[in-house]
Amino acid sequence: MKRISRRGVLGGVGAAVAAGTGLRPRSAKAAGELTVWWTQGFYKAENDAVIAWMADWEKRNNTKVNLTIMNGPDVITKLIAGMQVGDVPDVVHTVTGDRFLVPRAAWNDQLEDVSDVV
Amino acid sequence: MTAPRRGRVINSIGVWVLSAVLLVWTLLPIYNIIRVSMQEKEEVLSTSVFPVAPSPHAFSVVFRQAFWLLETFWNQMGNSFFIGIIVALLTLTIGSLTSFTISRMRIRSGWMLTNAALLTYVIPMSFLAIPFYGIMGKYGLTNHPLAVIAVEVTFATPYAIFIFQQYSASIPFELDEAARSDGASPPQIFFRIYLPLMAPALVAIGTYALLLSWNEYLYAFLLLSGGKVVTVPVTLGKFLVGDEAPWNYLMAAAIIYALPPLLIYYGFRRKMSGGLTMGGVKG
Repeated sequence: MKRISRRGVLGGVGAAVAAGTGLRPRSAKAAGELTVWWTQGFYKAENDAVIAWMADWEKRNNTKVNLTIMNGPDVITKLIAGMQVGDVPDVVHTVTGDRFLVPRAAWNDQLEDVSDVV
Repeated sequence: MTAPRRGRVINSIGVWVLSAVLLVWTLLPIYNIIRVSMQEKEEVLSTSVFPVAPSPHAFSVVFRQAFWLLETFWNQMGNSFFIGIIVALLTLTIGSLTSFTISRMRIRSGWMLTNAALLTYVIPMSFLAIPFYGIMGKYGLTNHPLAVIAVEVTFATPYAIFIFQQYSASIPFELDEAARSDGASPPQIFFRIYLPLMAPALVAIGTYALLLSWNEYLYAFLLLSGGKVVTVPVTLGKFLVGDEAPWNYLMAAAIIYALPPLLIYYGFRRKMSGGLTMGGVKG
C-alpha cells in the first residue's frame, strides 16, 4: 500500500489489514479519497461513534471518506474476494480478521511491514 | 358398506388428510412471518399461537423509515426494482431472440447453442462469485448496479432460452409458413406472430428472472457496497447482528419486500392462459 494515513486499531478486537504489495487500493483512481470498510457494531452507539469519527477526520484532513458498514462475515468474504483480484479498500476493520484473514494473507505473502508508520 | 365403496372412502379420507398436512406445511411459515410482524418485540419469542395484541406498528415503522437500520429502505427498494426490472427485460429480450433464431429460423447447429448455454448451470452460482468479482473489478464495475444486472442475466438467460424453445415447439410451424407466403420478413414474424403467441412463457420467465434478482443476496453484497446502491436483502442481512434482534421490523420489511413481485405477476396473470393456437391450424 502506498500510503497509510490512519491506523484502524480499535480496542483489542479490531485489526487494520494492510493490503500486500501489488494490490491497488480501490480508490487509487481518485487520489485524495479514502475507502473504509467497518464491521457493524453490536450496539447502535458503536456505529454512530464510527460515523462521527470519520466525519470529524474528514473535516480535519480535507479528504473524502467513503465509509461502508457491513456485518462481520460479509466483510471477510468481500475482502478475501477483493484481495484475490487486487481491488481492495484502504482501511478495513474486522472482528474475526485475525482468525480468518491474517493467517491466509500471511500464507499468500500478502502482508506488509508497517512498523515505520504505526 | 361394500368393499369397493369402502376402498373409495378410505382413498378420499387419505387424500383429505394428505392435503391438510401439505396445506399446513406450506402456509405455516407464512403465517409465522405475519404473526411475528404484528407482535411487539418482547412477545416475539413467546409461545402464543395468535398475537396477544396485534398491531401494524412494525409496518408503520418500516414505511416511515423510523428505525436506524431502515433509514434508506425505500431507496434500496428502488434499487431492487431497478435491477429486477432491467434483468427481467434483458432476459426476455435475449431469450426470445435466441429461441426464435434457433427454433423458428432453424439455423444449423442451433441445438449446440442451447446445450452450451445450459452448461452455465454446471458450476453453482456461489462458486463463481469470486471470479465474477474479479471480472467486474477489471471492468471497473464494482459498486455499480450493472455488475449485479450482468450476473443475474447470465444465470437467468440459459433457462429462458431452454423454456422458450420447449414452448415454441407447441406453436405450429405452419403459422410461420403461412406468414412467409404472405410476404412477411423474419422481424415481422417475430413481432407479430411469435411474441404474442409466446406470451405465457414470456410472463413466466419474466417473473422468474425478476424473482432471481429480487432475492439475490450473495452477489448483491459482494458486488455492491455502500448504502446508496445496495438492495434490500443486504439491508435485511444486517438486522440480526446487533444486540436488539428486531424480529418484528425484519418480518414487516420482508412482507413489504415480498409484495411487488406478487403484484407484478398478478397484473400479468391474464396473459398466462395457454392454448391460444388451438384452431389456428386446420387438420
